[in-house]
Amino acid sequence: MRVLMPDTLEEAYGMLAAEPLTPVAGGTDLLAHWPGNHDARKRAYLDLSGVSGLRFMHWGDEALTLGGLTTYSDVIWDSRVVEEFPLLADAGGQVGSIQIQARGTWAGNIANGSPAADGVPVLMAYDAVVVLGSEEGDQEVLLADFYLGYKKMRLRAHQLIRAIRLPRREYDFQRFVKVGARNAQAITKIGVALTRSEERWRVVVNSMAPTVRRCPALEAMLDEDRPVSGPEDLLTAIREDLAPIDDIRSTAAYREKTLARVLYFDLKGVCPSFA
Amino acid sequence: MGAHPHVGAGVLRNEDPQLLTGRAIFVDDVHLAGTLHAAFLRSDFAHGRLLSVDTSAAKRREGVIAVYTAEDLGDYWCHGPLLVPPPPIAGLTFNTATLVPLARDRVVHVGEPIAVVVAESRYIAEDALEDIVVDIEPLPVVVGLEEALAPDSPVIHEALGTNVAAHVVQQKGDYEAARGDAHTVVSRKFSYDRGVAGAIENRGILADWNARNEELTVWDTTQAPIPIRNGLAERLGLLQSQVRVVAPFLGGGFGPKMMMFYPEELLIPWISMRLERPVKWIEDRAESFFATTNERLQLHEAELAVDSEGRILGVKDVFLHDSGAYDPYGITVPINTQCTLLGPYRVPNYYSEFTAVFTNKTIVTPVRGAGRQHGVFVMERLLDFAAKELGIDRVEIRKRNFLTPDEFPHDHEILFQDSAPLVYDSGDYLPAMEKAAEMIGYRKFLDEEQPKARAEGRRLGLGIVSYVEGTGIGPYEGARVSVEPSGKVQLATGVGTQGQGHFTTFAQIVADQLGVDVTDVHVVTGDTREFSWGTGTFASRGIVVAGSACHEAAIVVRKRILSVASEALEAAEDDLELADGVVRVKGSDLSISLGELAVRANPLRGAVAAGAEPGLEATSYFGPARGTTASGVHAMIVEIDPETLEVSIQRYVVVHDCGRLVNPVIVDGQIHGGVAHGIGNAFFEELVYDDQGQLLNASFMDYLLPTATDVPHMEVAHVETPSPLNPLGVKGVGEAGAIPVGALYAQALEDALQGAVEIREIPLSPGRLFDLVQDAEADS
Ligand SMILES: Cc1cc2nc3c(=O)[nH]c(=O)nc-3n(C[C@H](O)[C@H](O)[C@H](O)COP(=O)(O)OP(=O)(O)OC[C@H]3O[C@@H](n4cnc5c(N)ncnc54)[C@H](O)[C@@H]3O)c2cc1C
Repeated sequence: MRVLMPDTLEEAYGMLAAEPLTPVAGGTDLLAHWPGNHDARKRAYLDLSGVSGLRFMHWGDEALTLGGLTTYSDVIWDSRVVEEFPLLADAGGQVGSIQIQARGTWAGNIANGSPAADGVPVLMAYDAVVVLGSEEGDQEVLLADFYLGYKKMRLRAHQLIRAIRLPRREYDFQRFVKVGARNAQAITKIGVALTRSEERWRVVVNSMAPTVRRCPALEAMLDEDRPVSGPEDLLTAIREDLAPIDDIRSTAAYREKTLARVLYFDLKGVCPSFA
Repeated sequence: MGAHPHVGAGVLRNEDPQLLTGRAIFVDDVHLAGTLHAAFLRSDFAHGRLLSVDTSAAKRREGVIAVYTAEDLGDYWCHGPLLVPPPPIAGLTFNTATLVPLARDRVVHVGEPIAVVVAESRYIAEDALEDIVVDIEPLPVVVGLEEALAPDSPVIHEALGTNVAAHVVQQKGDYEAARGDAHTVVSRKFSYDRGVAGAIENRGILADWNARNEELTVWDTTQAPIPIRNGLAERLGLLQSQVRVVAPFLGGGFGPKMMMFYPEELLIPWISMRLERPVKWIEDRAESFFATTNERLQLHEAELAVDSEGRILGVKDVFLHDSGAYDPYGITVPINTQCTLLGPYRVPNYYSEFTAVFTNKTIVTPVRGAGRQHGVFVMERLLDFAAKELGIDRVEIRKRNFLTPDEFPHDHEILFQDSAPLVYDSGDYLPAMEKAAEMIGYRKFLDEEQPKARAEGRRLGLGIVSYVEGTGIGPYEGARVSVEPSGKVQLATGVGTQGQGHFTTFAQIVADQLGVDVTDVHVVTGDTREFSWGTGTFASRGIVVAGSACHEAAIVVRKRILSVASEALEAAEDDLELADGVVRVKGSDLSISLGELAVRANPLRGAVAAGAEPGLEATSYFGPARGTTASGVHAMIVEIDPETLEVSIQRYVVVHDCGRLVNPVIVDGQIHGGVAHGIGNAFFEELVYDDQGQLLNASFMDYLLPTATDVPHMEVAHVETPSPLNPLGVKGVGEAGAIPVGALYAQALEDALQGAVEIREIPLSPGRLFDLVQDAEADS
């Protein structure tokens, strides 16, 4: 097993261009998957922890930008983020435990590509843009367009997630709900991030499809103020948008109906079209 | 100071400074120069014919010292001991299949060891496992209990010709006749699944054969070092005195670390002797899910016959029990179920029949509660259903059936796990129930709080259940008490310790007899060199059996102290008192310290009287005729989230009776831990097997232990009904907290769901509640 330890982004890009490498940020996903992953020890790794200038939070007029090594803790303990992007703190505070929050990065959460990732829904609900860096320069991809299928994404082997950019907007509704199997350290069974800005809804759900994804049918129902008289009225749209499965953590039926209830009861006082 | 200044007091634990500052020694903390490290190759298949194992590439890897398969073990390969032979019950069928050190021609569960690699480091050993080529021809797998008994089922142990591990009927009175007289009979099917013990510390062994002085030292995470020492000596052809087994601090035992003679426990010492180097193996968490025993499913078909007032006329229970791939622990778990089901109740007629079956899964042996929760669940549920059918309050139906103090000792006319008759020593159940009902505010909750919450759309429910726990069984334990010239006291006993507070409670018992401070009693446990006789810590027996031995030994030493002091102080023994580390002539300032007396009792010159023994020391043994019966009532209030069906516990009340309390703080701690285990069992933990016998959630990512945020504050109170069976009047408490929690959840959740569903299974989860609610809605 080889580990490369670049000091600068340029060095890191050069190493990535030369051979296939697996980037390591906090390592909290990589190490957890290690025991079951037979080729893990044969791979070569790129340790990002020494790369300067990758861990930051930058406030511009138009956007907040998180660095490729920015952790959950960085965000949770920043009062300005908590105020302007409260869902980042909500979701970040529900990832694993304090130890995991201190090591785990937002970029690692995105690049790991898990359908149960808790950081991704809130980023997506804020219309985050992923900034991919390489020797060829930066490429920007809307997070909502980033995933192509289960663990497939628009991230090429020579690219790193260099930054994550969140447009600064006024939101008149924002909420994140995680339903896990216990109060802490639990993989999400159902997760949903909701935002409304300039009359437009974002509904992003995790653990209910091969990727974290936006839900166009649900968003349309909300944008168009279609009447909803109970949780059941949301099921058709849920089924159109999502494809939950039965697994050892939960069943598809529980996921669908519970998501419908969560959405219905959380939006009841907010959307006039909800009876 | 009263007669017993320490016993009964919540004194701080002697062992805590060491534990809390990280200085306590656990097996993996023992580092010996030149230690080799072992890793095990385990079966990926639940059932298969082992055709070949090619270790040649592994042996060639740099840093690998040796690789062993079953073939390499020669004569050392044999079936392990039957650890607990079944009680002599008439008509009993028992088929033994005990563990083997390494699989030879068959593998019978995933994780069964096939080969062991010994290398300069664990890293190298693990890498070398990947060099081994194993050829296994998969065989059809037996997973379900009913399937295991089907005529066309594959047979796991061909020599037995059947998957039946045991079939046992025990009865009292005539159930069928009682049923004929009944006003109401409720009958239901139940399923109760348990899980892993989930000790923080996994198993570990370090063996060191010293070829020069021909001594084997084994550090082992065992709850029973002395039986392990005895067994190893026998298997390895050594004298018991050549083998020292040390069980230092353990990060939890909970049953699976009993005297198991696990394959690793037998192999690591054998390897150390062959290679003449220390060899260490520390189990990792993933391994532990397959290689350490656990507890699993029972399927019950039970009925309860009652009269019109809800008085129990009889109970019938027929159940299947999952033994897993081998049954080295005999029928301890299902017989505990059978005996605990009767609870604190007067049951004149009882018919109980169980069939234990082999399956291609990890072995089942006792885990905290050890089958008792299964029995309690069945009985408490039946009472709830009967109460509902008769329109009787659930607390009331229990009260009507409690045994009363004048009915003790109470003979249930069947045999318990220790082969002794199931006779309850003492108990007083009504006050505990009343106290629990009062503490949880039973009437107020039902009359006011619950209806009010319902009106607000909140789903609150209350549960209240009772149980007994057979504890403190024999055969015996011993203790040696010696006063040293420093005036401090050494107390040695044979039981291992895994967090129960032995360093404190045993010290309290001795301190009271010798008039010293509890911190001046230095307790040594779990080292066969320090104490050579006894069995171990399990079955909630430490305080009862070893504690009583400590007490007896201390009484003898006290007498010796008084006799030596009487000579030294020239005063009659009756005029002496022991306190604060000195013996004093009452009403005078004439005194002598225990240290000086210890020196006097061990003279270096001069003559002593014939037959005199040196020192202020005594060894005593205590063996109870049968176990003590502890009991309790748990009550809780839960709230169910109507959106997600997640459950939060609002209040949790325990009223417990384990006889006289030696240290109430430690007892409460035992109960807290037990309840946490019970909560995990009832609502979080489940071992999910697929139809190929593969465990699908073998990690703490998906096998959910309750965390600190899931375990509520507990309000604990005690009733103290002393046991007449031992001098301290104590009963065991180690497992109690875990036992009734499944039954409690079921009742409370049913209550919260306003009877929309009937709960006949454990474990539950939000998802499972969802299914039950959906099914109930579909039915109506
Ligand atoms: C105990 C525990 C609990 C957890 N609980 C949760 C939870 O509740 N919710 C949740 O969502 N997750 C949870 N996780 C998973 C994990 O902590 C998060 O996904 C975390 O955000 C991963 O970040 P990391 O920096 O540790 O990633 P790493 O493990 O370092 O990397 C993850 C993947 O991303 C790639 N990668 C990392 N950084 C970059 C980059 N800059 N550019 C390109 N690729 C990159 C790596 O190559 C790897 O494939 C948990 C993990 C553990 C061990």
